[in-house]
Amino acid sequence: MRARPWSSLLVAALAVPLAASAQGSSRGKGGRTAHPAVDSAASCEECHADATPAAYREWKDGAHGIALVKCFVCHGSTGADFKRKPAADRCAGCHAEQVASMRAPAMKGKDCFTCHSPHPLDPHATSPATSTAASLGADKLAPMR
Amino acid sequence: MSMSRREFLKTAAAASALSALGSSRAFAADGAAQWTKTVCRYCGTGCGLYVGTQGGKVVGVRGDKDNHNRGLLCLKGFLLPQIMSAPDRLLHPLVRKGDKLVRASWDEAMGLVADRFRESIEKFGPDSVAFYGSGQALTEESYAANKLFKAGLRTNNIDGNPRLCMAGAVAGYLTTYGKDEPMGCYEDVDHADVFVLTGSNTAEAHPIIFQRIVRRKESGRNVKVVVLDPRRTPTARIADLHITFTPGTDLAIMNAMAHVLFAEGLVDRDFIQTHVAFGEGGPDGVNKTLADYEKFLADYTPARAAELSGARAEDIVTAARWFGEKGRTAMSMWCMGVNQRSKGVWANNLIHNLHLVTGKIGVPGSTPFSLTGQPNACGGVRDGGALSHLLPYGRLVANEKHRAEMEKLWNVPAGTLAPKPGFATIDMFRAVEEGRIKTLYVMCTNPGQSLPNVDRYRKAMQKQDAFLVVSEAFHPTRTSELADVVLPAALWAEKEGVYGCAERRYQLLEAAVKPAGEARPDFDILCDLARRLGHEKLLPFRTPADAWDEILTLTKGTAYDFTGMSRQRLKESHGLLWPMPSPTHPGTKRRYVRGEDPIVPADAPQRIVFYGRPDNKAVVWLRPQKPAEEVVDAEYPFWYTTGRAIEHWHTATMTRNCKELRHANLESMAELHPQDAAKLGIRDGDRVRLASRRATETFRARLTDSTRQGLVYVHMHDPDHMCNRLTIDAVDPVSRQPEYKICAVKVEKA
Repeated sequence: MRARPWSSLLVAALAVPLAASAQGSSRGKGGRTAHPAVDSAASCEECHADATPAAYREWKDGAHGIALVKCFVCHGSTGADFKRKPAADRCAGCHAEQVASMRAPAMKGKDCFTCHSPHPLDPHATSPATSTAASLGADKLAPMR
Repeated sequence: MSMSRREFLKTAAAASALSALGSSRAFAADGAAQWTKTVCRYCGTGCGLYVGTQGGKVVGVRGDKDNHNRGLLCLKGFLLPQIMSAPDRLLHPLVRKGDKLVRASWDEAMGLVADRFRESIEKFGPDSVAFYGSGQALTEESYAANKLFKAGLRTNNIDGNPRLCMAGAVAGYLTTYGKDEPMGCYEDVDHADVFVLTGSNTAEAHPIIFQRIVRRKESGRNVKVVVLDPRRTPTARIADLHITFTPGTDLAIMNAMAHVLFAEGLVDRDFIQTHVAFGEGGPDGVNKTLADYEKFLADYTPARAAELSGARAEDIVTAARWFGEKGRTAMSMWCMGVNQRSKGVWANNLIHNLHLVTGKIGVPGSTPFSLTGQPNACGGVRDGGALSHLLPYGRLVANEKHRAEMEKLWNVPAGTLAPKPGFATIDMFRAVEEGRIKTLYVMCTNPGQSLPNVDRYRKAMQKQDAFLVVSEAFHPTRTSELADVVLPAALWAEKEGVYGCAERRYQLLEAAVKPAGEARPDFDILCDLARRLGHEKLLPFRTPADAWDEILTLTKGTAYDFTGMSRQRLKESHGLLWPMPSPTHPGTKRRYVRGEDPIVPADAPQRIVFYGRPDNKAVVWLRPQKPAEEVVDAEYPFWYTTGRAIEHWHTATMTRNCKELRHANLESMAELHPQDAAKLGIRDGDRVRLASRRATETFRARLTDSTRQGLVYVHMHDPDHMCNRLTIDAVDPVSRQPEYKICAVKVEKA
């Protein structure tokens, strides 16, 4: 919905390191990846809609996107605590029971993302092809007049 | 209820999974050793959570799965631990010496405050002092202030920021039903077939309620969501119908919806005959008839409403048909877009009208439900009567019988309570400006940023003859920077007390850690002030629990009656809904309903009794379309409105301390429609100057077609780009709530 020419510079700045991080070349210890400096007036999605469009779309149409559980809830801030792959304690704030269940022996070697693909985070009973947004009929409104 | 990590795990985790945990490192990653049950510090949803502590520090939070939020937290709630150790926590008192605020001892600071109060009262009388409180204070804190000022200092000059956020909803409930507070509950969301969300960006302002609506839409049959808002907010993502309109014209739209309900036979005439009266004008005007109302509505055809509002007539018809469809339930929710208006009480009345003419009220899934912005505006200030015209639990300052009741309950001589209501918020700050109030105590709120037309009242607070005391957890804020004394207040998990959220749910927040530095709970500070002013007998409490026991006695026999809500019961529960008149009563999900509300006789002939009104009938009010106090014109051609971003809360004193949130939407931008911007030669990111009749402020521009043409929108939280320099301080004549949501501005490239 937003035109964002002013943010295009940021998008360009983001694109290179994120692309690099996907190949692991700029990843630090513990899965950390440096995040470029951001504009304090922006929100994550403004840049990531262009910088990581697939992940953005999966997030946006998933349960977290509808509920506005934004990138930093799982990935941390854009500072030193930024993590490319979130640790389970980031999930536990809302899903303590499920995170605790991952300690069971049968879950050895698995984490939340073994079953819930990272950005759509489909519930167990849902086909990955059916996004939360689709099931809600979201974004079907005619353009605003 | 505090519990060890092991006990918490037993509660939180499934038994099968736990059996495998043993002494494993479950949750060891966040290092919490102790988990204490509490409630979120932010909005009026009142989400339950556990706060995890280790070594006297807050290290994590977990949603309470046994509370209404089912373990879920919004992004602000999840990041709460960071506010506790923020670098701008105020750790010791400050007093002004010359131009500077300097460190002082508690004794020096409190001695100064007490001296100044005493001096003001002696020289200028009790109405020369005032208290400005908060819907974020704990119930016991607001109660202590209310009792000290009204029964001790003998002034009714006590008001609070709930006046700025839900006074319109209060007056709406009172004028329509005769009693304040919603009759429904969150559980109604799970049964609603149609949601009409008016002036509420639920997705950002009340995210956990929004998630509940999402779940209902996913699981229910053909659930419809209608959003009425000039902007297309993230809430509209799940809307089946978004009605955008010229700000201030929603009264016409709601009257037109009622017109359609009658025209298409979607009203419940039996319900109307039994439960509804009709009125026009003020409280003495409940003398109209159904015929008068239908005649009044005849003028509000969808076509005329469309002409007045800029909405589409067919959308108004669709919304009305969905709302009124027989055999389907309907739930209205609204927030500041309705309340923060000079005609806010009328707009509230018109929402209630739709439920009353269709009988869609008092059954699961059908209810008008106002959303509240702060965590204890309802429980502490509104119910507790910590406002200038109120006494506790539905009693009025201006009512002689009510004053006598409170004098007896408070054990003070007859005639102690002054009969004249004090100053409501805007009037209070104008009285500071005029020099009528000499000493003002501000607790747990930030009027130096949050008042409308804020420059005017910042000047008033800085006057030489005005003494400003600010009790705050953080410094500097845009208010504490103006203060003569700043008292370091304990914050959230550092103190104990009760919060009451939007659905009449009361919950206990237990202290999990000691206050930072020399900070003290506001409850202690107020008891200290009472002692210093010679009113220790009024606040003899050792703990907030002592005050709670006294509060319970005040509710007996009122519509709020929660005498069964003991401290112990609050400790063991995950929220209790009043009325709850006995220790065995389960609480009340739906008021006015026989079999649910203990105030309705079990043998009442009708299923619903609106007992707040003398004839047991709720009032459908004839409220015409009236424009906002300030409308656009050639000089100020843009509508101006403000609101909340999900990342930040109120004036951002807390959220700006969370590292994740400092990087997200911290700076408020001026959101403009691209076509408007093109006409003015403004590009995305350009600096623009917005000017109203009151002030000018500069923002960067954000171009978005989610903002209606002719409208400028700004987030409300940024202390460096204050939206309230421009807003208007006109108020609703009944509720005295300011019209934050609508004024006129001009826009130019800076």
